[in-house]
Amino acid sequence: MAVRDASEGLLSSVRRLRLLPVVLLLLGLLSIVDLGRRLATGELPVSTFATFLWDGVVFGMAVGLAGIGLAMTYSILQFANFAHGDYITAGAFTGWLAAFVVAGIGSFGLDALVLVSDTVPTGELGINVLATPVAILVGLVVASVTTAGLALALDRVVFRPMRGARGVALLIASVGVALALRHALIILFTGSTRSLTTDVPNQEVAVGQGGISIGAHEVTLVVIAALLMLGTHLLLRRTKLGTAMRAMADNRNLALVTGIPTEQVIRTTWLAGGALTGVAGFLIALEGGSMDPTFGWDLLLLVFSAVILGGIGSVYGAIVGGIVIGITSRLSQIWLPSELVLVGAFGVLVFMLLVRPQGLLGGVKTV
Amino acid sequence: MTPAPLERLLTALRTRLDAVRGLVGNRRVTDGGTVRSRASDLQVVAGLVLGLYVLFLVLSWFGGFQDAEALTSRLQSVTLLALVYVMLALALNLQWGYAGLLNLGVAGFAAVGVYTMALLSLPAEGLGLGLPLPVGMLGGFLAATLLGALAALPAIRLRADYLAIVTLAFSEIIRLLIRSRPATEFTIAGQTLGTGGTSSLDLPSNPVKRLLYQNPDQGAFIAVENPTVIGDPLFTAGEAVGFGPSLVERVVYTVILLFVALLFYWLLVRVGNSPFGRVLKAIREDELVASSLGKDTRRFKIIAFAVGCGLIALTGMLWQMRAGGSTAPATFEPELTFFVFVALILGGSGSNTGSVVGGIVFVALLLEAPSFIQRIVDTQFGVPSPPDTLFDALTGVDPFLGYMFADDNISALRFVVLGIVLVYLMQNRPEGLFGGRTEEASTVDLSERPDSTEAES
Amino acid sequence: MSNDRHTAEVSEPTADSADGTVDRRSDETGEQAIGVDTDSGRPATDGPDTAETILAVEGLEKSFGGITAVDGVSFDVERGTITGLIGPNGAGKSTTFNLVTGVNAPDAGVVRFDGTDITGWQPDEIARRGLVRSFQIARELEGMTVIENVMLAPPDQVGERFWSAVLPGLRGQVTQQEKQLRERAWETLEFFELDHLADEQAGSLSGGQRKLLEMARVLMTDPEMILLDEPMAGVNPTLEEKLLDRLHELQERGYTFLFVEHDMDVVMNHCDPVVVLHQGQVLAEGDPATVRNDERVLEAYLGGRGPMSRSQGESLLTVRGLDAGYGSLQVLSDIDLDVGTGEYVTIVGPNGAGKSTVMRTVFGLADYMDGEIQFDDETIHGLRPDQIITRGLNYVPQSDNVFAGLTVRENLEMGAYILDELPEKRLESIYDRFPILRERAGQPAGSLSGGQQQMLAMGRALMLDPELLLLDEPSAGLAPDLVEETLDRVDRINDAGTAILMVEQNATEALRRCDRGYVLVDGRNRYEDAGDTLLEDQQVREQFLGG
Repeated sequence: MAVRDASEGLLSSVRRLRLLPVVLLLLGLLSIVDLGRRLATGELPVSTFATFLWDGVVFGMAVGLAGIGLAMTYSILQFANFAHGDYITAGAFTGWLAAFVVAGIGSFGLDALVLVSDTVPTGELGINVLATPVAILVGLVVASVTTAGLALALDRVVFRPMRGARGVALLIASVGVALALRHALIILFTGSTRSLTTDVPNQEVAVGQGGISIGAHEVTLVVIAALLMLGTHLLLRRTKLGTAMRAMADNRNLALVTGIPTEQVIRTTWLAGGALTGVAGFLIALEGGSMDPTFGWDLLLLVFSAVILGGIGSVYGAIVGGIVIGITSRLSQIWLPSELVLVGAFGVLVFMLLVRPQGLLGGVKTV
Repeated sequence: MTPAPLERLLTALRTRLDAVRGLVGNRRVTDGGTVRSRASDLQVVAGLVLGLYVLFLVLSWFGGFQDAEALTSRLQSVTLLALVYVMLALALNLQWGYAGLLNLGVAGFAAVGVYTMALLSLPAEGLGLGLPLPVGMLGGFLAATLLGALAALPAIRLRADYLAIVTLAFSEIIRLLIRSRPATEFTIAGQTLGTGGTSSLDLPSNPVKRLLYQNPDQGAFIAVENPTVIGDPLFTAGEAVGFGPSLVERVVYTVILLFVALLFYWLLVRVGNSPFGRVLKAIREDELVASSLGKDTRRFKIIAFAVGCGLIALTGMLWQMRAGGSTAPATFEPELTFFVFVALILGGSGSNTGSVVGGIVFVALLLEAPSFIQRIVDTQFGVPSPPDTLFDALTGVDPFLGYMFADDNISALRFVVLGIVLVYLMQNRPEGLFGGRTEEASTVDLSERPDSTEAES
Repeated sequence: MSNDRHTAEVSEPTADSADGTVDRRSDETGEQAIGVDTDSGRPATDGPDTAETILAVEGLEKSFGGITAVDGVSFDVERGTITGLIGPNGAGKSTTFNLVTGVNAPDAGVVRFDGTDITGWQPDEIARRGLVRSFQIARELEGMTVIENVMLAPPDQVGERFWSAVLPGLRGQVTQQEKQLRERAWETLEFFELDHLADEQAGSLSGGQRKLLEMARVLMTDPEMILLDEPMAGVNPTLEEKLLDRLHELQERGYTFLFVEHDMDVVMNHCDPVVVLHQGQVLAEGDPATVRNDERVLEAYLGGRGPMSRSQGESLLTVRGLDAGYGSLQVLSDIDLDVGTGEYVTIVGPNGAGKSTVMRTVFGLADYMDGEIQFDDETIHGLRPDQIITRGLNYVPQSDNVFAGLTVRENLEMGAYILDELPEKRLESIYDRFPILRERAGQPAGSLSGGQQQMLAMGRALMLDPELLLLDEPSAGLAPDLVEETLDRVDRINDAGTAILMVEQNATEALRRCDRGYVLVDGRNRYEDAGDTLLEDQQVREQFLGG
């Protein structure tokens, strides 16, 4: 009783006094002041700061893009899909399979290419966005198509028979899907980490005393992610199906009464969400230059953090949340040892869920 | 993914269980009520265990473990793991099965227990404080309980899926902190402590060693020379049947763990079959009803969550300390949590007997059987050497088998099966093998009707 | 503990409760209650007001998303009474209940129980204080047995403490108490005729049995005061008698009841006093006779008055022998209903009669059990809503009937989702009919007022130019001046050729406007006639206010 009163009292006073914004603001101000001090004293070179910032933007765009699909399925099917991370991996592997085949056909054994095998000498294969744009393009298309198809197929087999089940039952089933999918990928492609690309020329941009280098793959990621985010916005705002998706997220029963074919909307959701997720997986691997069959799963909690930060169930929230998580996690390296950056990001996730579960954007639940 | 064979397997298993139950008489026949039904529960479990032992003996025999020591050693390791999962499933059942709290941080809370114990009880000249082991274990238990309560305080109000994400994140934070460089080795007030980082950390020698050896901390070869009064006859007996000292040690440890598991079961049955358990069940079913009847639901949820976390931590310690124990952060990846969930859901969440059955069946048939089968195929037919790629594997039956039975792949295949089983259960039998049965939440048999009322009305 | 009370100030009647309210105290002070109650703590010098107020509700207000559900409700419940709380659908009864029991926190106002300000307390704290509720839709704990459900209820059980439940030394005490409770539980179950089901899972009970279980559970909590939310719905007459006997018995023992019930006979014969809510406010208060003869109460139930008539065309919707409900709970039995082309038909009846369920069944949302539903000579039961709307039938649900996050125009577009192309002309004609929607086309629907949202919902349902429009309580939750306006709008939709089947709480107004009306009581057709004929029918009036 006493314990609970204390906790309730603490939490409600946190909420009532708007302590959260105050604390966040204070923390933010402190960081900015400290940042200014470090920059002014030269303790932190401006170029390093700019590099962190740029890295943060790149990473944030990737996480944001990967989060859209998760937010979509959360708002329309009303469950947290724990298999989402492995959809990212599946997209990356199928996409890179295609890219390897396109780039290496004729020069290398087909089976090694198809398996995105680590026996393929990537240096000789020479994939990068400038040298082999076609391979990259084909990879993107294949990643989106196969992941969309995979999401649809898994919905048909796993989630559709459970329509109307509680969100928790779906969540646990999605854990099963995650386990099965991840390890099926390991059986198919082996668990090794493989490198994918060759170096691309970097554009050096002078900042302060030094400079930052902006890679072509980073630019590719940012540009494509931005275009797809815009595309998602147009889909949701300008098309009938997109409007129906928002309608269903808004009020599922009314959507049914209005005559919106809910199954069709759900299929569209999986298709669009799956395609975006696949592309995100492919691009993240492109930018990182390597991948293994668990990288999507390892990203999952971070993607959850982004989605929750923005207000779970909101696509725009996912995008904003992704960018915020990306930038803060990179900038936090100024203060934190790099291996604790992830801890910080998860800490933000826990903190947000406890104190402001509706997210930064106030939990407007419009897909 | 056709579920038909799995369905048949489960049906067969259920029929067998029913048959066993039939043999010992139906639940609540005429008199004796609850006592009677519990007795038959134990008999069901005993029958199941016996059946599985026979199965594993046969499997081991064909798998090439033909001398008594190797056979016993295999059975011992499976038994130990099964006991661990039984205990974890029981603890999780208190949280998820009874109170409906979706805790995806099982691995994290286990890690808290293990590493707290290590910090407290490792020798002071090493990475610990050098406190006696019981103090360390108590510390580990309390740390996880407190942390559980602390996590539960605010999180308990969240919807189930939020709680799931929070606890999973919590678990990962703990794991990442343990393996981070600052935690690997640090010095407070002149005392060097540490988690050992990513590499494995040797744990304090377990109580069984103290029971058997006079100088348990010495190397095994030296320690064997100086057994205790208890150790001496056991080692002699072991020698007689051809068991080496290390096997004797492990068998004794397993037997002790069995008693701890029984204690767990006893404890959780008591918790479940009480007014306390009744309120937890009510919270799971409909929290608003429970609170409308005057129950302070948060108090119940926090206690259930904290106690569950403490028990998870205790299990973690006992598991990792198994003979010659060492631990590593990799043990506490979220997969561990999912394993326990599969075990619990397989057995039937909400039922303590179900948790026991789930833990046993999970370890025996899903976790351990694949490697046994791999061995059998290997010894009986000789697994062809694995081809380099999947494509080579597809050229014929032999290469295909060789590929699938390669160590990495058999393990991955096991996960695939696990995932499919979980999906299948959620779709078709969410109540599990033993679910849907009633374990009445009361200390007395509620169906026993007081005679007096009949006359009164 | 409750001696320093200021009953007189607290119970000052609200402005709108006039003559019939005050004199209840002079003749009806609840003698029997005082006789049995622990009268030690109550000083007799409290003035002329000898009755002790146990529950005082002052100026409660609550609104949900712009719709005011409770708008300044004040009333007192005196110790030892069975106080009835009645009112037409949407009057704010359930919300008041939820505010009193702590399920929702009020926007303004105070709730005092037994001298303690319990405003904003948690439900469990209020329950432990002695104020316990039942639920309108029985909320049995499905996965627990019937007797476990009952055993859950008693307060402060020793075994609810973790250590007592577990430790060997303490558990004997628990078992001792469990045995006593078990005896009480069996007695209670016997009384409610549930004893033969004690070991069954509560989820397998029938609707009526669930109600009984709910009552049994509440009684097991040893409350001082019980709030019953429609306890008699779905209970058979024999048991109903028994339940009521038991209530009076408990009343004599000093228990106090606040009773929401739609069965007027029960309220008028067993409750005293009766509080009437209407549009979120207390309309009248007093003994049953006074309330029943209060013209304003009748008006609240039946709405305004004045006859009017129209003609009927060919049969469009034909319902024969329809049984339907939700899951195992049967709500409708043997319903017959016809709507002709262009006809305007209303269904009226007391709360809980199953009016909305008729519509939901026709539209494929409730569970069809038996009978025949034909539209345009085609059988439509078993079809999904998105199939039904293509046949010329559309439906406006009672609440939550717009997509709040979509713009007004997008809402309308969704109404024509099944068409390949947006019917621009149709959209224009709807804009012409409801010009405000054109003005607000780009705004999110959630920002509209209640009346405008209702307009939008109708507009959306008209996008496919249906032959028949089903309207579920279109005026619910609207301010009085908007009710007339909304119903006028329905008239105009009907004038344009669309047949209407409407469920409406404002019975007089609806019957006056329609061609034909049905009176539904307890899930069955009772009367069918031209609207104005029904309006004059004394029996119909009695269905609303009891015989």
